[in-house]
Amino acid sequence: MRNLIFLFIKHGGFVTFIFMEFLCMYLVINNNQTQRAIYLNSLSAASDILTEQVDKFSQFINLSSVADSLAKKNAELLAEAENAKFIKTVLKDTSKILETDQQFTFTAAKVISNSINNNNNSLSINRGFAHDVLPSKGVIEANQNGVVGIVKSTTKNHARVMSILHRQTLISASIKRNGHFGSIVWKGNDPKTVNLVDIPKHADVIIGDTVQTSGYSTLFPEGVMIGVVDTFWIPSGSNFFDIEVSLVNDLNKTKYVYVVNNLMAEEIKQTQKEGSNE
Amino acid sequence: MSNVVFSNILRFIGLVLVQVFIFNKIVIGGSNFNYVSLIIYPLFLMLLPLRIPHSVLVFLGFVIGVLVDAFYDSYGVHASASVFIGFIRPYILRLIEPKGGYTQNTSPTKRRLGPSWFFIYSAIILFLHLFFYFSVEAFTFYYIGEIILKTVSSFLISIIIITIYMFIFDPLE
Repeated sequence: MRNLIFLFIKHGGFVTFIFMEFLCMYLVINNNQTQRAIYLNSLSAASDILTEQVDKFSQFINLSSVADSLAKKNAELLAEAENAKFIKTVLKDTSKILETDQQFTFTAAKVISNSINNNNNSLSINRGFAHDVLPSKGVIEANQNGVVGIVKSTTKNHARVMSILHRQTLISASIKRNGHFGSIVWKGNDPKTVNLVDIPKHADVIIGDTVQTSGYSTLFPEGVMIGVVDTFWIPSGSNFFDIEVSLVNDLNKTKYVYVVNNLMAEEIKQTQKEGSNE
Repeated sequence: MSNVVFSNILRFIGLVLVQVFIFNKIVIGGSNFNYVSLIIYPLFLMLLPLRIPHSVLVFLGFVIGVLVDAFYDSYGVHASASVFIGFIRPYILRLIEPKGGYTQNTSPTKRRLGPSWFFIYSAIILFLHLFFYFSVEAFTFYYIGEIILKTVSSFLISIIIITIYMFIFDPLE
């Protein structure tokens, strides 16, 4: 103990200095009006800055839950859009108000895995049959700004989505300007480009035309934008255009998607089936 | 040994008394130029023996500072400056160590180490002391110009008084 005290006296200069300075500052702040005022003022300024930083950080931490709630809200808004409704009213001269039924609703989901580099690409989302996400439902981007793919299989809480960048994906699409329709396929090289086939050669196509979903399938509502016409040509001996469409969305960046629920899908399929039986 | 302790105690009492009863009352410059304070008590810390332990030096700085503060009615302001001087003195001594080094068991006085060495030594310590003191007095570097003006003007007068003191008393220890 004695040695310890001697050791401290000999080498404890810095510690003593710090301790004594703190004591002095304590005395200064508690006994002098001017310094006290400055101290309190600076303290509150510093704590303001600190609080602000902590606030910013916690906001950042909360971002993902904010994004989740926004995605849910967005899905609700998508269901309110015009192309999600089924017009019930038979138009007559006097009828002004359209009565509509809900045809499409949307389920927000988060992408948990994704690929774009393979020949057949798929992605996984965090919604499954527990959330009414079932096979062969369409999947689109937010704001109807791009098609993501088609649900292939589901488990309770997760679903596998066949990406639009999959060779077996076939999506009915039309050119917005003139209504000619064909199919979107992917030939498996450029993840930014898909091909629109089966557009007859008498259609007038120009570069920059918007390509959107046709609404002829039960998968997607009409008018979801897919991309714009990049280049096109007519292969020799063919009656159909070969059109390259550059996608409006970047599949590699997709984080939130919306699964399309077509409430009238069964009805439509039933109708088509009966029609083909005749 | 007892001679060193005795002379330092005497110097402690004398410097504090002169500081608080004479230099505290002297006003230079009047109300228009209230920038000059005569500060000589750091001389006590300058002249303490070389072998004094660092922590004791810091503690003595606190003691003399608080005592001066009691009469200046500014608790802690002088003390923080003299604690700082107590802390930094060994580093300054090392910085301006003469070629032959210091003689063991002596004090850094003018008679031991020469007038020019002592002038530099006392000037550095006094300047640092005054700068620290006026900084704590202002408690913000917002008035840095005023702090420097006060430091320099007080330094010029105080260093003259300290030099005169050393020539009059010229202590060995």
